[in-house]
Amino acid sequence: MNHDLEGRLREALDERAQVFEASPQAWPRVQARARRARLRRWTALTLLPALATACVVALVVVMPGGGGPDISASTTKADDPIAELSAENPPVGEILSISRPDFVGVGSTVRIWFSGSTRDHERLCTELRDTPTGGRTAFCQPMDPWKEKQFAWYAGGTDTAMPAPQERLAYGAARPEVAAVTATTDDGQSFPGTLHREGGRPWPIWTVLFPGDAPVTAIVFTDEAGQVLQRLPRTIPWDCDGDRTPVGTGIRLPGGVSAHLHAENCLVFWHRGKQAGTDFGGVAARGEPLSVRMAKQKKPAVIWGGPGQSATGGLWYGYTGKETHKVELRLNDGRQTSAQTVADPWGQGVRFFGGKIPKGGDPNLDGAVYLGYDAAGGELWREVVPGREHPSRPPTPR
Amino acid sequence: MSLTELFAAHYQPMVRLAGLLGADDPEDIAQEAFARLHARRGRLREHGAAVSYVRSTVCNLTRNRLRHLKLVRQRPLDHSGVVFGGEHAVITAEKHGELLAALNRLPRRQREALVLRYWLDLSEQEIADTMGVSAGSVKTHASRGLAALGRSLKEEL
Repeated sequence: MNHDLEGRLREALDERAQVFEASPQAWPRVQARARRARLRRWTALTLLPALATACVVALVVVMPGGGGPDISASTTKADDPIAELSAENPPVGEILSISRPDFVGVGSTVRIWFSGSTRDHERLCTELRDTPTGGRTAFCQPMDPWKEKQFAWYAGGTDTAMPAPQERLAYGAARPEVAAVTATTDDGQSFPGTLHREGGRPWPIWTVLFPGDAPVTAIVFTDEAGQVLQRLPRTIPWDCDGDRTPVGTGIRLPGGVSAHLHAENCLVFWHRGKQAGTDFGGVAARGEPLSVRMAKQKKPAVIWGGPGQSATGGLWYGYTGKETHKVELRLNDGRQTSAQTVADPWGQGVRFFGGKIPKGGDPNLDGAVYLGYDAAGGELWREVVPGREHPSRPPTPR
Repeated sequence: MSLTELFAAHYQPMVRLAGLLGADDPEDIAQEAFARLHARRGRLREHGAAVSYVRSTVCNLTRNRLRHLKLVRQRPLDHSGVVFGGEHAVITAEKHGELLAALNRLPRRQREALVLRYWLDLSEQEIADTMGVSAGSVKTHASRGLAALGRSLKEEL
């Protein structure tokens, strides 16, 4: 009977709930999350996509405290929000300024500074000046307390810029015990970096410059005796960044985006002279066609779409399986758009698509749906997009 | 009630709510929900509003986690192929394993409606606020969910 079923369900849920325990460390963790969220809100989250990729993908990020990369950022040349970011994150110690005319496409000057105190949560801030457009990008990353066996922290760099520039930069913070930093390759090459201890900064800043086509696989930190304190492996396949020239001319997609393939399977999107997304797949995906990579991830499509993900908030683009001839996006406000797919010319076994999103639409909001259709118009797959937060009914403040 | 008091009183239930809704890491969900409350504490002074906010956030975050990012399946979901992992392992050992397994197989909104009603004992309007749907939808989801559970258990409703 229904009544009996309801009773059983209550009992079952009560029993099941007992399985889920609460950690005694939960409250400090909540506080740490709240601090990071505060940092994110300081400036608009309009991180340059290429930069985001550079920060997130380039190395195995070993963050103090175990968090993922957590970046507050601003990218624009209007109204100078960079100044605002600097004002809200005043330098502790001197600003480190690195000027390299050969950071083609990603900025000729990099400025790095610490802000905050240990008590008020330290952060490492960066400003990149982009040469092609005159725009600048700045962002701050929170630093949680160092772990016991952690001696260095990777903060970012120009090391996923594609095509490969003449020279790449990686940088971060180090503990005082670190005496040397070196970028190394599997075939024995090494590129010594610099530890910047001067200027009253709370921690040394490490920087490493290495040739754009060098197959660097790790950044190694050693003490005064030459003993390795920490090794940060690089997770992008070096044959991606070692390849200066894309294969063929690329695919031009609606909305001004073009897709280019480097090496065997390193995908880069461009929009108006800037990187607008990369898919390198990681070391494990070396040599695998995009179709294989997609199948392993059980994804019917890989999509950059909407604010914060695509080159501009009004675009969507990506790739899907070779059976999918049309991709449709249904926004949560009822509007929709679709794009025909085109076969890739590189034998990767995928099809590309792209287009504009209806004005003001955000495919990342709860309720948006992507659908894929075959050549005959039959639905092959659909996926509801995970929302950032439920947009329709936030709890009403009382 | 201060945030710390609110946390002390409601953190464990929120972990359990996330778990019952199927989150693979219920603590992560609950911590994120309270961190977001932390950011809004100035605007959610009233205790009931704060609890309602956290509950709603737990549901949303769990929903997002379950969908987990872009594009998981090539074909419409075939529940027979779903691997329940650790959660399933726990379920089979429980007295109500069959019922809980059937609950897990329900569409997301039906599962939410049933958990909120039968575990938290929320009113239809409270469930509607938490899920971001109308009270009428709550009724429908709960009724269909219950019917589906009954069918799964081969009960006569």
